[in-house]
Amino acid sequence: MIAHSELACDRRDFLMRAGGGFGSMALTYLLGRDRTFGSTNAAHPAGISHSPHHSAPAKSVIFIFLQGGPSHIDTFDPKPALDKMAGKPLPPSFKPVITAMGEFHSPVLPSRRTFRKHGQSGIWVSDWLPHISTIVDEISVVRSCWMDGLNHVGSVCQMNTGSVLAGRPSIGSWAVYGLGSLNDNLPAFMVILDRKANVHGGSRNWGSGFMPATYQGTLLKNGDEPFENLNPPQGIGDTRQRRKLSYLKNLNQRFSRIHPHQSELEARINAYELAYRMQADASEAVKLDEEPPHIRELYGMDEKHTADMGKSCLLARRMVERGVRFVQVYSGAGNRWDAHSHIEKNHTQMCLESDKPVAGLIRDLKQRGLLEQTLVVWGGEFGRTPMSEKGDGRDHNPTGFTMWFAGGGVPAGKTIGTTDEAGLYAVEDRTHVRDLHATILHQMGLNAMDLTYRHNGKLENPVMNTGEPIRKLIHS
Amino acid sequence: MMKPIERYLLVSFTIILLGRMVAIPSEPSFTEEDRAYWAYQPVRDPVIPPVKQSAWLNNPIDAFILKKLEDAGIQPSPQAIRPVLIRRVSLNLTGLPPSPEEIEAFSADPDPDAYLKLVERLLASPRYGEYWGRYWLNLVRYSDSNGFKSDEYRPVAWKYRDYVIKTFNDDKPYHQFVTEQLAGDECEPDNPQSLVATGFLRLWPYESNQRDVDRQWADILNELTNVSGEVFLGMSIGCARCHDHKFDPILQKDYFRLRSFFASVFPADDIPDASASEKGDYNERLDRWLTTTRSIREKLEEIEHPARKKAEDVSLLKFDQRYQKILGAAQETLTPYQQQIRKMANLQLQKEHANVKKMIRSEEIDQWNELRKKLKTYDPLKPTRLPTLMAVRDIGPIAPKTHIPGKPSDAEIQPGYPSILDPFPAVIRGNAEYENSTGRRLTLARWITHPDNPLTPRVLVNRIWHHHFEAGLVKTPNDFGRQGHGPSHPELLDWLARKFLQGNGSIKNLHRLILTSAVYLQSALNGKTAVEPTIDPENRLLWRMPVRRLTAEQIRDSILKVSGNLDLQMHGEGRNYDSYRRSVYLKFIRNTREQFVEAFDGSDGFNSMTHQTVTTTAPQSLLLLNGKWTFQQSRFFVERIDEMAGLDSAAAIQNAYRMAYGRSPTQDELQKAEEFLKETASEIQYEKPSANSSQDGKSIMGKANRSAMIDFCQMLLNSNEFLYVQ
Repeated sequence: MIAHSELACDRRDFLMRAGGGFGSMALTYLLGRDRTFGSTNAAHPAGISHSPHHSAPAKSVIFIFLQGGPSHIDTFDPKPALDKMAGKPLPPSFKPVITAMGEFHSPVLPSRRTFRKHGQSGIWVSDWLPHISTIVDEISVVRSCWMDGLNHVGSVCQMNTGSVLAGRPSIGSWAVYGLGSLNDNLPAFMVILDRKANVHGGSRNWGSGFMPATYQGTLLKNGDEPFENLNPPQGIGDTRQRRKLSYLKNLNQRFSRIHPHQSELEARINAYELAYRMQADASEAVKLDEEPPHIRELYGMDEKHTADMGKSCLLARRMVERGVRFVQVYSGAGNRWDAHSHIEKNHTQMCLESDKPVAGLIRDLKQRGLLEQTLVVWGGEFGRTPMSEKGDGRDHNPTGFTMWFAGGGVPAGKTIGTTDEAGLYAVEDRTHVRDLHATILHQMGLNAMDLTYRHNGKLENPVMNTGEPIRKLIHS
Repeated sequence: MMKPIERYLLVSFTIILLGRMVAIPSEPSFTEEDRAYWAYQPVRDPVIPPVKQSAWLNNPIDAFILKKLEDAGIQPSPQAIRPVLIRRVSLNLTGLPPSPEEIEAFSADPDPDAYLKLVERLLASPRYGEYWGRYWLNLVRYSDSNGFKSDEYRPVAWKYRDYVIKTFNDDKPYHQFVTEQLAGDECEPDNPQSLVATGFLRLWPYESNQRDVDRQWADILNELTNVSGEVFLGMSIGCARCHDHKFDPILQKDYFRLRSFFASVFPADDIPDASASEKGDYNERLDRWLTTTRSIREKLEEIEHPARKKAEDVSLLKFDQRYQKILGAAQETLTPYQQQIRKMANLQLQKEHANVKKMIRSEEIDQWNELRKKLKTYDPLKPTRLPTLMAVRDIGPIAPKTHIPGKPSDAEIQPGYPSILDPFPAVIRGNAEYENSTGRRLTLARWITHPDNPLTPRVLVNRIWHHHFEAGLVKTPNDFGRQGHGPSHPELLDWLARKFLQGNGSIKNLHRLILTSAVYLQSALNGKTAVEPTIDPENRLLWRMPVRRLTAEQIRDSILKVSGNLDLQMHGEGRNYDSYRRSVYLKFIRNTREQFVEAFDGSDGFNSMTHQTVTTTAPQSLLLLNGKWTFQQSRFFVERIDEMAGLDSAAAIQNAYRMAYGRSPTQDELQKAEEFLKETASEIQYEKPSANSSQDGKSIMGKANRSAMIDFCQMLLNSNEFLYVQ
């Protein structure tokens, strides 16, 4: 009995790995067949599920990652008490905290933004985000997030993988591992950068860690050739490419005939076919000029400041429409939100770049009926301190910051959790990064604790045994 | 004369205690089952089992394998043909495919010992150490960069890489290899090569602006503990950091017992990589320069000292007050732990020295420039700086205390081994001639390499087996615990472990044994002995050779070999990715890995990689199909063929096959290839009629023909027969 289930495990595990990086037809087919063998997930040591644990509204996720750390106290978490503390260090009642640049004792810098309640829900938003202000009734704000990082690489890594140390699978990889893909011809997990700069820490943030590379994210670069190696070398037309591939198939089939029991060889034949189909499908998916002018306008693609982020957000929508499971959109890749000084100048610019495109994305998803099945997450790797840095900037604040959620079955219009009166520490409904991850997976139908993968003798799960979905968010 | 390391090891054998040699005090957490677990039992001396088809046997390995096959009613596969065999064994030992000439010579060699000679030749090839060195480097998560935000380059990390390559090429006994890596500095504090070996203890990712130094240091020690447990002992010890291991008898206490062996290490980057006489010479010349330039330097120092202080302060203020206090304190007032923390924090301050010039007061800058200019005139007197290496030292003879986080701080954890094997505190015995070190790591190395240690030899022979057959006798090489897989052939595992110990830890001997077994010589085709894969579809009983995809490095190196570009120069600093050196000599930059390593399941530089998890993904296909590099290499490949083939297209195809696959095409393959070339060429000509205009009489390849040939060759490099070894 045990032998049988182990066998099923190895076979299935193999099929997973042979899937083509992007869930493939062969994979789905063979998996379907697997069920008829009568092997169940319960007996499955590696815990591969590939089907949701419970029914769930969210089919896809768009994670808008504001890299560098946006200031919560200047956007969604107003702190009028800071006005009274201005220019002085925090009162001694605050527990000291190590910060990246050692600013705990620096004078407090109150926000210069004007906050107002918006929409029917009355969610507080500052004047830095006039467009998001108009869609607040679609979102729920969580003001009590916290994490363990201090610097960017560790923190970006934790926001993506749950750990500040590199080497674990990213949340997108876990989602794909748990659910597979909805589109055979596109990567199931995509990462879109707004500029040419790289995200701090690079591929660890969308890598599959100790899981097979099949589940890793595919980087979509901002430029003429968004997918690496998607197009044939210059001068190789379609007929020639097809002829090459057909000849290759010939070579490979001969080799497979000699080694009939080596199904991995078949998988590679499929991988080339998939690569060819991707050439067409992925090229089509990134063709933004197909979009009508009013849609491009909605995302701000026709304006200089919002063009890049608008493009990324529109790409994200097109990917989700085509069944991509997990899309990550970076705003300010390469730390551009990192306002250690001149926060007014920095955030004015960064908010300007992202505000309209993000609001446009929410509106567009809504009008297409996609918002219900798409969970949108907005946030950075941490927030920023109420203490000033270099007079007019703010240091990293991992102990308290804001993120928001929209669509994907989460209730809208809520404000959950609080930070202390300075916005330094999360106080009520404290929500660790791993709780955020558990929430995302929960909305996709996966229990983070039950989504396991065996590595080095340990049943690993996405939240390292410690994350729970945000109750107030999932139970409306 | 006995080498010092050998001497230390020998002395230790007589005093060391392994748990099972004495009565184990009752440890309530362990059950009878725990104690009886196979991996903790002494390595046995198994009886070679009798088999029916004894004619099949080449050496005792085969008896263990055949016994199980006979019991299961499975026939082993026939021996592979020579061209297949030479490609297999060449790739397995050197990571490179054989040349057509080598294949033909071997295939035609009438000597009955032809295969043995081949194995010997390959083991003696420097390519062997490069390939197996890479294997070890992946295992210990080697990299040339720090792995954080700026991912700083580690300028001398490559010396450890070269040390590993040499170790494999010289067939250094494994116990010596382990000892040097863990405690080379404690054994031979003045031998640069032994110090370079401790580069193993420097491979952790390092964040150069981490202000929470306590946590940073704890992370580093945890990293060292985890990787040492996995690499040397096959124990997933990391599970026990937060609580007793849930499945294996490893206590949380054991984790910290093991960790405390490393508690006193500290990075050493200023040790000269030079002989005693070189150092003497250097110091002599330096003294002369120092004396001559004293007055200039003193004046310079007057200006620079405050500037340097100012530069450091920029960094100092970023630290919490506690660290500021430690950084400001006198070394001798600090505990060993505080000294470590101070040194770690100091690394961040020292970075600021680069900014000294900016901090010099404007009224002094002219004088400073003047003095610098004057000092420069004495440069001819100044000796060239000695090269340095990346190593560790202990912070001093007294180790910082180890505690379990969250437990009372007076409960100091003494170094010790996993309690299931030895519940007593370790008896620390260092190098008596080197008093400035705790001797803890040397003690640990002795225990790991003690011939009675049941884990070390089993773990090592399993790794070697794993790398030859794609699956280990234990399928989880870094986890011999209950959550891993038990051995498929426990007696064989022990027999090999025993042979390995008897062979004085020679890894080459182990290769010889494995590679000359009938098991290894089997064909990957099951041919007439076709076994329904329902009996043992996984091939755990090894009734045929598995077909394996090449590793990331093998793929890149093989393409370069076929294209004629492979640069076989050895050793030295890592090269950029566009170099034609073997992959092992390319820099390994954690945040931006080489494209083949990235696409074809290579190491990430963060996790210990025991073997490649083969994935089959579209990005791999796109890289080989559309990638610029692959396309370029295919052109070089064609140039080589062009030179050889002259005017004959059939000869060109033949050569391409021989170089890529190590065999000639069949008549049918030849015909298909010619058709492909003709069709492609005529289509290209149709599309671009000018394409054939530059034909020169020397070659049949006009541009169109040449383009067709490039397509053809590129597809050979994309094909499974090239990417897999049978």
